[in-house]
Amino acid sequence: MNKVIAICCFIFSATTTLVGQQLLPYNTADGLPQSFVYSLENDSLGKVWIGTGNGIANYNGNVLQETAIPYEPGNRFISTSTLDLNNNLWFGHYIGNLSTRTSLGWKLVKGVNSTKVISLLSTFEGMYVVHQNAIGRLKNDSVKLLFQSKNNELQFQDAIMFNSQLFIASNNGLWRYFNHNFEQVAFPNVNITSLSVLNDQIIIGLASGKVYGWKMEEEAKLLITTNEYITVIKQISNNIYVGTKSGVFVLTNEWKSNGTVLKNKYITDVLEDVAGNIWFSTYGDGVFKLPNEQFSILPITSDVIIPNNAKGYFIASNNQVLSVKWQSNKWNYTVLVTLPKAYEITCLYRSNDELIIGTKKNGIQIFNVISKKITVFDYNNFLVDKSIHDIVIDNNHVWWVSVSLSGVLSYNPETEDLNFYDTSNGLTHNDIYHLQVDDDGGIWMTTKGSGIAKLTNGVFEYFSFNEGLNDLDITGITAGKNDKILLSSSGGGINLFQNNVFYSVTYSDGLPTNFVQNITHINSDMYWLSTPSGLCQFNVNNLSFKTFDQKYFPENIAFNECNIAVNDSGNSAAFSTTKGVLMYRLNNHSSQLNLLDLAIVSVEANKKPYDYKKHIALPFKRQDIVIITDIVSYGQTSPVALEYKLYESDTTWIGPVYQGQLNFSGLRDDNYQITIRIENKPDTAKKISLTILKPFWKTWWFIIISVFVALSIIYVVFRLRLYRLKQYNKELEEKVADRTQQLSNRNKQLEQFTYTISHDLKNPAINLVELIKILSPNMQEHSDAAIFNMLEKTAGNMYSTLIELLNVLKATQEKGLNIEKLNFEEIIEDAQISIKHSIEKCNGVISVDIQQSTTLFHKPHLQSIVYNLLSNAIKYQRSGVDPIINIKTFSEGAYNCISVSDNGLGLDMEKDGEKLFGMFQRLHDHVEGTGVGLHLIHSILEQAGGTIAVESKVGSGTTFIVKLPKNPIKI
Amino acid sequence: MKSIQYIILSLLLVLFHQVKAQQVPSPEENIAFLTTFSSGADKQWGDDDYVQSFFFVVPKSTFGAVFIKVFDPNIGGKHDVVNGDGVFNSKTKFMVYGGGGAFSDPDARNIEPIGNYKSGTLLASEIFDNNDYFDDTWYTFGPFNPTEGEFVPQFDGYVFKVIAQGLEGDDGNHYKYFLSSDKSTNRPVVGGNAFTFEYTFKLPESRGSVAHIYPLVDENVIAIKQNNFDFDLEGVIKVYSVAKNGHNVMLSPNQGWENSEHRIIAAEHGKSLDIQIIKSKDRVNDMTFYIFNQYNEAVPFFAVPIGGVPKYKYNVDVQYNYSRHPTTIKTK
Repeated sequence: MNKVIAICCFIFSATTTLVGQQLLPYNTADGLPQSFVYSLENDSLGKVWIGTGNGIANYNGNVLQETAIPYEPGNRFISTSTLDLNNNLWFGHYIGNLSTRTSLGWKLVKGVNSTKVISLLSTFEGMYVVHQNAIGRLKNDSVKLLFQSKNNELQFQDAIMFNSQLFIASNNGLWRYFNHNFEQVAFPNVNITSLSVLNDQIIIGLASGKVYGWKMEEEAKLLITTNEYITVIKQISNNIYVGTKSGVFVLTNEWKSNGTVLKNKYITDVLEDVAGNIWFSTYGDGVFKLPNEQFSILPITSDVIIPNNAKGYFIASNNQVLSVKWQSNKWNYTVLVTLPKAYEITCLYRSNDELIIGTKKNGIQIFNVISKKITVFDYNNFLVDKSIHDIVIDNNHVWWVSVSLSGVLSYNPETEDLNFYDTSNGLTHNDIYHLQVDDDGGIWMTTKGSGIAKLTNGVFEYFSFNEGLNDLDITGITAGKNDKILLSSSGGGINLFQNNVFYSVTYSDGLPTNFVQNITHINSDMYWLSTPSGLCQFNVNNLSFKTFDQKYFPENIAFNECNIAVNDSGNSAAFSTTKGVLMYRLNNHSSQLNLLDLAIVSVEANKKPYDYKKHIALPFKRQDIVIITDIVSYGQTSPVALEYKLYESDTTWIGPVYQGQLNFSGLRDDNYQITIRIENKPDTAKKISLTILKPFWKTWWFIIISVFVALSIIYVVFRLRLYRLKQYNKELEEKVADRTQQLSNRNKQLEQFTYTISHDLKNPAINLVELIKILSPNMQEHSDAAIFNMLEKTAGNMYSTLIELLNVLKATQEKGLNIEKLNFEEIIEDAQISIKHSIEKCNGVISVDIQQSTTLFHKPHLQSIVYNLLSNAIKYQRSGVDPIINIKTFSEGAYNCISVSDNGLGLDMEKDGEKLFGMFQRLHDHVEGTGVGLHLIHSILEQAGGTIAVESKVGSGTTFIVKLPKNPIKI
Repeated sequence: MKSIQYIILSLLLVLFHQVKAQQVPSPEENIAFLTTFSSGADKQWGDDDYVQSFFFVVPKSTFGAVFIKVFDPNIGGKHDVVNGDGVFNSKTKFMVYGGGGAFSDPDARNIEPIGNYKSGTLLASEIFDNNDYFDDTWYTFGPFNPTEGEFVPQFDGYVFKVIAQGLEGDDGNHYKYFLSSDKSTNRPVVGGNAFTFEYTFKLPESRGSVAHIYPLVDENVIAIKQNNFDFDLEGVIKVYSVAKNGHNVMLSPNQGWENSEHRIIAAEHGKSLDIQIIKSKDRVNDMTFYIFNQYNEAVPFFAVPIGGVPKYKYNVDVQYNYSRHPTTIKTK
């Protein structure tokens, strides 16, 4: 499209201003980080976000404050902002980056290059990031380059989405990015500085000051010419705001001039907030708010104002009544009625077509607004020279008139009944100022300093300190909904009467001052208050106050016994002031003026951020939890309190907390559902799911590990002790072995010694025996033959003893003995043969009972055992008793046994049992013997693993039972 | 170490220029005008590349708007050089850049206008021809938000870049800059300064006049190599500093380059050199100057010398010789 046809052209100067528009400035002194402002954006909570060249500020409906951002100077520069489709607020930075505030804090994303981000446009396909010389698209936290201007010749200046296509304004015409194509679509070589979409067409603002409308496929139409560099175009409600480097042109939707604002200010952005306020950001002059609520002054001196039925007001000024109406965007007034010049109007009341006019000295004038006729109401000139303070008409159409110093009169127009109420018939005070009819038909009568009287069905009630009124100087009275009566006072703030009880609302409740000059019901729970310093909107439900100080008014105003009238469903009001009648008007009726909401900004634990949108699990030790909230209290000037509870099941809330930051520490391990809300506002509740994990000593794995470790320690100790026992045992065994070895060595030495002695003495002994034998025949005759015999005998004994000793030693020292299978019978027979001579000599009888015929044993040893047992049985026979010997062999368990019983001397086992088997132990001295035989048997059996047992009784004989192991030990 | 240099440099910038005007060329330089010839001009006129970049430093503490003004931006009329048929037929484009890369991009600091030397965010631009409306008067770019410059930590301030580019034609544009805090009057920005890496300027015309340029040598410089173009051998150029008392530099002929190397000692670090260009003829002459350090990095020329105009410090040894003279003062 190359051809541009100007269809319509308006040129106007920027010298006029909108009537009644009071712009409120906000600059660095008010909390702006810098006076150079580049972007304005609403967030999902209704806050206004203001991006400057050195940081961000936000306006929450009451105050403007800087928002801390963790960025260095380059990224502190906000060049543009937008709210994406997920209601996340994004900021474009001057050095090419973009950032957003997430649940984990601020997140910075690198742009496609380091040039200024001029526009962020959120779409379902991602967010377009338009730099001054490039286009990118943000997806998954990274920006992908879509187009880059070659040599930076093309400078982008604004961008919009239109019909799902990206249109970009540049210093060289209008461009479009669509389907991966970037093409110029209009205005070649034209410096386009601003784009907007209005009424299905693209609105194109030029550096030259012209504004075009372009519907695709059609020729562009010139809409206006401003002669100023266009910076921004926005349509808000019924107006179009065209921002330029020299102010804002306000136009109607038909592009007709509606005035200008902010002349000579360099406008960078325009925004309407949720409350209907219009914001203008400027380059170097901060931001300006065009409040949705406008105050203007009518230069009319008046203390009497009442609402008119037709959304206007009647204002009495001296002897005139004026009609004030909102027309052509301003308040206009006309004179409705003029009374004689000397008349001074003191009060008004509108009743259907009649306007009832109270005067200071001329009674009540009744003006018919239809017929325009005036009639006079007086009762026998009672009202002449009296000042009418107030007039009300009750639900029964009865007039009630308070008359200065004369009490109250009532008049029923239908019955023409007239009644007077003064101190003579029940009224406590005659100077009644204000009258108010309540829902029950009661007439409230206020005084200045004497409290209140209330007349219901002819009965007076009086209210003073005793009844709960906190101030008797009543300055105003109004009836609210639900049978409420609210009274303003000069020192007690507001007294609320409901259900026969007075409640006071004072400075301590947030009321700006206790000196309230008047009060008037607006609608619902809202009331207007006037104070010496300004005005205030009061919400009786949540005790919130919104104040309007001099900043809101066109000029400095004093409110002297301010009369207040409200009309237009509460969207307008009129106030009498010393500078005239102050008119209030809420421009956008659909706006929300009492938005209250709460948002969670961040959750930190030990200074580490956590995503509050997800379940948070914290270690037991991480206990310094900080929850930062954001309170939106649009229209609330009183402090907003928070309350919270830790568990879903909690029925009581903890609070109020008058700060946006909640700190928790010392929470025990548990699952929490922390719920935070604005006090008594369930719909503002926000929840955070939090688990404080068990301390490690309470965890199952720690318990298991502990048990395991304990068992391991016990096991290790046990093993250690066992090891030490084994070590002790080993040491003991070594010692025993050592000692045994020592003993064995000693024993061997002794045996060797014994053997040596025995062996060495054997030959001399036998020599001695043989020598004695040689001498023996010669000595038979010798006188010392007896001695010689004794010598022979002794020598023989010595020799026998030595032989026995040698046998014993031999038996104990033999090793590697030959174990063989032996026949008991043969062994016994051999032994019998050996001692045959002795048996026969003593007539001994031997019986043999062979039950076990064989055994394994070393033959010489078994022969020695049997021989010694038989020999002993013969030796130790009883005198005069022939020995009877029974030999028996048998098997018993692991042993083959041989028993030898005799009927000899027997033994005293108790006395001699223990030494029976000792060497050289001889228990019967009268019998020859060496005392070695039984010791020899014992030694043999001990070595072979056998035993020998003795059963004996003195004089009855003895039985030896020898047990031979069936598997004798091999030595 | 770098951070200490930055701090020292920042302090110097603030301490020595609290109330000085940011006029370029500054009164201390005694240079008549900055010079940019159009691209069709012969280089014998003294401009080697038809582009001149200047950088303006605005301290971080500056809150109000700043303006960059150009004196006599048109190319025609009173101060400019006409070539060819005696009719001004040229255009000069002035561009103001800020934002990321305006200074930090290496191409921005290159003495040659190549690569991405127009780095940063274009804040304003204007093309001037021989329109008399802008002759012998100031043209104002701005207002600019100080933070629209590129934040440079070593200056603790924001840097704006102004590029003057000779477009079509063959004439020469003589102009001046002023960094102002006021739109209508030349009110200096407190703590502001200006610098360039390659200086093309018009020398004062009278014989014996002395022009000064003030390169700043930092801690890392051990030697400099001065390069001058088209001086036409019409005088002398000397280097002064706290340690140099008029070192001669090599002089360039008509349409030619000449260079010479000069050692830098520790006493000169963090201070400016005073390069004095002393004319020996009464004639119009434009020339170009730049200095490299030993790494072939361009050294900046500040309009107002950092640390003040350097004065040579005489090193005085006192020796006593009673036999011949009571006192002999020997200077080095």
